[in-house]
Amino acid sequence: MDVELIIDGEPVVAPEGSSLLTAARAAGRNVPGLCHHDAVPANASCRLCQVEIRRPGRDWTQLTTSCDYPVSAGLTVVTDSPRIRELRAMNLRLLLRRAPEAPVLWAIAERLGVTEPLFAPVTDAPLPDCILCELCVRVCSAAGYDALAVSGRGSGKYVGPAFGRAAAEDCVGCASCVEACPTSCIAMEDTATTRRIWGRTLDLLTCERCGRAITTKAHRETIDPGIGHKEDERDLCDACKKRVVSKRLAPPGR
Amino acid sequence: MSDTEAIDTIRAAAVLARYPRRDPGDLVNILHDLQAEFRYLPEEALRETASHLGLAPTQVYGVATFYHGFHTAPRGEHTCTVCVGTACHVRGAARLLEQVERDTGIGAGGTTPDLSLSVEEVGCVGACALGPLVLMDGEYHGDMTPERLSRLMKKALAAEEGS
Repeated sequence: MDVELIIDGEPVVAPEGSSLLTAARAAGRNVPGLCHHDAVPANASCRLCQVEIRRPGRDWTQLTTSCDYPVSAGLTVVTDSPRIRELRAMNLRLLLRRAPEAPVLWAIAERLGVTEPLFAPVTDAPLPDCILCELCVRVCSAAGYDALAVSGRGSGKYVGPAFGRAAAEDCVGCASCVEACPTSCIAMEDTATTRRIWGRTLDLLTCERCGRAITTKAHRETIDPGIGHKEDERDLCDACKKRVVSKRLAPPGR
Repeated sequence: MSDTEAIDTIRAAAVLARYPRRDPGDLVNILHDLQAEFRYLPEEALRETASHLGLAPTQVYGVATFYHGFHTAPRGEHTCTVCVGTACHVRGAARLLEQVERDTGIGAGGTTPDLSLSVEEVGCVGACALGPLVLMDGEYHGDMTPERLSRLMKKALAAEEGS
């Protein structure tokens, strides 16, 4: 079922259960946000997607993070105002404490009129430039590996291997976390044959036809053989797979 | 797995047997019970808990490290908790902590190498009129002085040797 709400003065229809952030972005509003990904549950930790809302029948507005606030009928949403911009700017300054170099933060800073950091940067974080949005942890969990832990609390909180280990024992090197990380703070190094990530060194699997690295062998072993591809097409890189599949599917004589 | 780890696993299994529902909502209760059993939360116990509840070890570790009251390193037989709340602070809690460090060589958050004593500081225990205040194994001792604290710790540690 769809619900109708007002975003920045315009009526918007959004599917029930979707978030304000998703609805606002679908309506073309440029709402900042770093910790959100459609594939995993919201965490509402970066606090940059805050919007002002007014619920039907109320004569006051309230501030809320839009990524974890569901759309509802008759809701009035404002995605940009001086009050919102001021809040976002302060939250951004707090994020800059942890990731003073991250280009993605400075890009948002420019939009919000933040030109220099307000707080002295954190220098002793186990993972420099990490803003603790836990996107890596959430995608790792969604992928079924749960290799990363959120340890500690407050200023001592950090993301990494559990039990104080140097390496994440259940990490298969799929690199989903690297892909998801908004500040690109997760180190991954590939050589021709190995991948180093989260303290582990994993062997790479190469394409049977062209020899290009596809993913790690450990990652490949966890992929259900029943899904996706025919047995002889599984260990091919994307380009070779496309070639093989198109040949197979092409009508005879072409 | 080492012998100690194997024993930890068995002791943890005995605690976990009290939670046959295997409800992840029981996690914090289980951690309390495990800490009562071990005085801290050994890695093997946390791993057993994870597999018992169908959670990932990383998730259990995250919860165990989130709460101030759970410890992931071995703890002493006795605990000396020095209140450093505002009232105790102005009445000389810092001098008490100095005395502890002089006597035992460890500061707040530490444990003696022989695992006889752990030292903690706490924000306020709600007995400000009795400050400065020390809890020895959970028992309140008010109007504390460095000299009395020395005797108190000696008595507590001697009781352990006698038993």
